[in-house]
Amino acid sequence: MSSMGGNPTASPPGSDSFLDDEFPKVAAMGPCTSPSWSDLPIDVLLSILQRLELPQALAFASVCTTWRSAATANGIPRSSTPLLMSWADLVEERKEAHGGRTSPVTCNFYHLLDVDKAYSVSFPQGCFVACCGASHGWLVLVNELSNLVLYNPFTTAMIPLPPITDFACVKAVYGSGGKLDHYLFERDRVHGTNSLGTWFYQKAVLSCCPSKGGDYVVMIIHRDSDWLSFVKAGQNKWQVASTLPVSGRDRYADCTYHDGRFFAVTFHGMVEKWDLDELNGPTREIVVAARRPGRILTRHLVSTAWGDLLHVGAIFAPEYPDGVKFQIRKVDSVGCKKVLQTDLMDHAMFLGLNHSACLPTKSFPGLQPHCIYFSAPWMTETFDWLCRVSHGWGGVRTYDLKSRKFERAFPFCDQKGLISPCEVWITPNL
Amino acid sequence: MASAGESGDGADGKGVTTITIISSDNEAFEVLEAAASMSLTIRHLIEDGCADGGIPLPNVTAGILAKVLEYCSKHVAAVAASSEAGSSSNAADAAAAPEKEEDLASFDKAFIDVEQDTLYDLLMAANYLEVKGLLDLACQKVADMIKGKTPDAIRQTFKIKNDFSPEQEEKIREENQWAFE
Repeated sequence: MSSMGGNPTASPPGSDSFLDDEFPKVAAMGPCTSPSWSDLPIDVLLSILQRLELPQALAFASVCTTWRSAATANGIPRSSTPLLMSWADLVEERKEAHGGRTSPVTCNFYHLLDVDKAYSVSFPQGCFVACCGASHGWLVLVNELSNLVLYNPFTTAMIPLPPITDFACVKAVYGSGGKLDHYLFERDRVHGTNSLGTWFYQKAVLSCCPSKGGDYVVMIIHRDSDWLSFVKAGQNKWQVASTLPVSGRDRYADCTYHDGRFFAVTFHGMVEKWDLDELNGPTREIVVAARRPGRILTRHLVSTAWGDLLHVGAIFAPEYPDGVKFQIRKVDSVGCKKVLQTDLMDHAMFLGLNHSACLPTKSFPGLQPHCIYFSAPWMTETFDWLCRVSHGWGGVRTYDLKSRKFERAFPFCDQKGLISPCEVWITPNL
Repeated sequence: MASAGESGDGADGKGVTTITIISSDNEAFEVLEAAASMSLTIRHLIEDGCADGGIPLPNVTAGILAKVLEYCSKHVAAVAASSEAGSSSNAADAAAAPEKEEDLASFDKAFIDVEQDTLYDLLMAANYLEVKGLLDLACQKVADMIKGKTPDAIRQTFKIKNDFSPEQEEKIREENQWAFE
């Protein structure tokens, strides 16, 4: 049944017709002319837009000027605005279901320009049991087999990473019929196939964007925050770079990629620089020695665009308005730590489970300069201090380096517990 | 292609008024008033008493009008059947209701599985004629075609020209670098 009744060769004025000037243009528009998808009426565009989740809506907004106007009119944020992903509901559900069957997961995305608006985004079945990182626009997710996958929520591309059984402390146990039944951790502790992954990975970062067959490297802090491991694109087995002595009580707090190398920092303040290309295996250089941890709550390493590596600590400080202060130091190549001016030179920092970022506020409308946007990472190691912070913790917060206030950035409710993270920043790669 | 009004076969005993709709290329379609009234535009014309001698639609060609009316007739018949089943004391009728819903769903799915140009025309016609169900169906189809695609792929699919200025283009490319690489 042809749709091109009437005059099939006419095209409406101003349309992006591919018929060039061969055919005369007619004044009337209508179904008898060649389709002009960019000129759909705005209410039709809005109706389509409403059926798209945020990632697809962002793509929609990048197609052509009319679609972009429709998207802007509908409040779709620019895709460069850092987003917050929250899976607090998932954690609650799982508690209630006692880790039962996994079902399709949806998370809420928020953006800073309209903190009340939540965008529901769905994830493919079985790939989201937990999240342990966000780097270059990709998420590092723990799937239902407790293995890590890289997932881009905007393109739905997925890259599986090597299995958890690469680590000597984990053994897979199969049932009759050859199906994976459960995992044995440290030889005798039984864990369900999807429950081991809910705590086994603390942080993951990438060296670069994994799209288009790039040579990315993934580094993870895992087990009890005492192991540091990595895998390179194309390799099929995790390599353990470092295992901190269990009795020593120091644990890894964060890792980042800076100036061509991975750096890791521990809760006792030790900063390690890693070389993963050595033929003899990964080697480390201790750039800053460990010392007493003090009242540390979190530690983060931040690579800046101007070439500095910053070390940011959140510290329990009852004398501050919200009981928490952030201290920024510069990690020098000679290893000395210097105290940095609190002025972040018109930048805003994003810390948490994500690959730490320092973004220029000029390029991102809605970001406050000299502000730290903070979502809590795993808090197991510093829980003692955390209990003493009366009201200044929980939820996603901003720390203003000038006013020293540590206030909520989003109005939504906290998760009930304080240890396992349920939010992560997704920031563009600059 | 004119579909004859189902005069008398309705079997529901309710009014079997038919209405004539005339396409832009002067083809006449006779349909149940109930079916035609699924289009708010047509319903208003009927209510305003403009239906005598047929309702002309200068913006809709015969091909697309036929499809729209097919959709409306099918849906109106389904509504009638289910209200029959609802009011009937026959258990078999009531049990058949969910099945009929499934039938309608598979009808919709097959109905909207058309070539892109036809989809566009259906979208425009459903919007102009204000047939909500069909508009929703067509918009959902377009949304499904957008899912999982980069902006470039969307442009290719719908043959949309990238009409951003070089400055806008640069800005968008910067913004999208991380999301759509």
